[in-house]
Amino acid sequence: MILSIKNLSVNYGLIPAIRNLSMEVGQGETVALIGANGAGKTTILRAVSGLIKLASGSVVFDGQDIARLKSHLIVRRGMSHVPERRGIFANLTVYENLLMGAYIRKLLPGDLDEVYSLFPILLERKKQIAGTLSGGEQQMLAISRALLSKPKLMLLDEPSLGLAPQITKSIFSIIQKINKAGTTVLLVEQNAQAALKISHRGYVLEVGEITHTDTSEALLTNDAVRKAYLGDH
Amino acid sequence: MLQAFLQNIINGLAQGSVYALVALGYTMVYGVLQFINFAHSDIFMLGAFSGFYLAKWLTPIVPNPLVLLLATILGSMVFCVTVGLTIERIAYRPLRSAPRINVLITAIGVSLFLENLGQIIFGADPQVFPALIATKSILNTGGLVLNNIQVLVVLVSLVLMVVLHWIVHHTKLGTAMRAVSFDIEVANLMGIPTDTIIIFTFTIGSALAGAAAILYGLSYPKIEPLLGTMIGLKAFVAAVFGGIGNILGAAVGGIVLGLAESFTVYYISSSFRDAIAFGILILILLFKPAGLFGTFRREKV
Repeated sequence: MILSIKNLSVNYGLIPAIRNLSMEVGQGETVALIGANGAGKTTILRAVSGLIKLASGSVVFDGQDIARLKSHLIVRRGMSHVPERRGIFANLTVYENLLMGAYIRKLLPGDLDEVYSLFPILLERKKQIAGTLSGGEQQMLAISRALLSKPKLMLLDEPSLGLAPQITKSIFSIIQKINKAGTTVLLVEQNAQAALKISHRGYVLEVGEITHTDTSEALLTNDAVRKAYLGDH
Repeated sequence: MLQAFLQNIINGLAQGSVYALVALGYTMVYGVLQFINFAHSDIFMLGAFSGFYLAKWLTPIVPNPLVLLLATILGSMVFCVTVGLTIERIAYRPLRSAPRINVLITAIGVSLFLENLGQIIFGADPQVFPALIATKSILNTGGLVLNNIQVLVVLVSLVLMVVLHWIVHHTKLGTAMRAVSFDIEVANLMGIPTDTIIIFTFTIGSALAGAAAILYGLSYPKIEPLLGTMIGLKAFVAAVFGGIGNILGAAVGGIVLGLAESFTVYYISSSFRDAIAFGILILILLFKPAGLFGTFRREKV
């Protein structure tokens, strides 16, 4: 297991947001974490990448407990987190954003070529201020930026947020490509259908607790899951 | 008429570049930490006094006035950086996750502390800042006077601002600084060590204040422990005018303020010198609160 979360609890003030949650991500997998708005999906990712403090529990990444490590040091261990709403630096150019993605290492010319071949539009927009990009382009930039730290594990928080279905589709196929190229992916999504289609396994989260977990195929056909998350009535 | 106009431009540029250098320190710290470092004006004051003592000590040893001047400027910059980083470490860093208002009040406390400490150590009486280089008139035609000190002040400020621009826009550290100032949390997710960037920001801001202090001492050779208060307020106005957090804005704001003061003194009355700065502040807050180059950022929820 490249990531294993055990008995994780996170509180916001006195209010528990995540209770005693355990989940795992295996080397090379794409794992989807689906659930409704407010279920705590983002909180889990933020706890894993060190942005918020855990109340209790452990997070073991690549054999080491990272639960109390600062987030900028977790990145150095090989984890990259594409935050909700993309978090691009709107005041920097596209190129400067990419440069920041590679902050922890020396940027080699080939690295950028790789990213530009995934998203040719970024090469075209290289010198443009990132704030002027469209939503889809910003998501492409956010993913590219995360790739440039050469992560073993990539956390993606709602990459489909606010994107047209066509663009979501192409972003998801790129995520699949990234996974096939060897990066493990933990994908948080409200768009359960799309997330389960490109993932190997899935977890269903309801108000801070895992209610279902199975292979993505099985989840896609599970009646309870279909009713709650896939729009079946 | 034209001579008077040009003369005011010269005077305003010299005064304005000192404001600009100090304003840059306010705006850069605001950019990364979103609070006004009120102690910045006292770092400027300490820079002036460190230059005062350093120059006294160096004058008999260093015969070349240019070397003496450069050594004093560098010495003051180093001293200010030391003070700035000490303040950051002791007073601000422990409050990193505290509400901004706590940091703001702490900054006011540090400022009062330094001012009073200054009065104990240096005495409350004004001291005469040594003339590191003799004032020489470079141009004196038809009522237009331009001296070497004015040229020096503008030139040194210009060089420092060009270097700053280069650092901020063409180095990895500078780019990281802009990234941190945009979103500190996402910067963390890139592996950017934010404490290092904050230290870097305080270093640059304090160094500029140190240089500004010597340039000020050369132009207005009277220094005292409350020296920073008015310069600090003016520089703060300049930073707000340009758009707090915006580096270009602080530089332009400082120059504009210097020019405005100089013209006010000549065309209206010297008793309006300070009024114009605060008048500008009121106007900008009324009509363009984000400042000349500033943009409003929605509060993050």
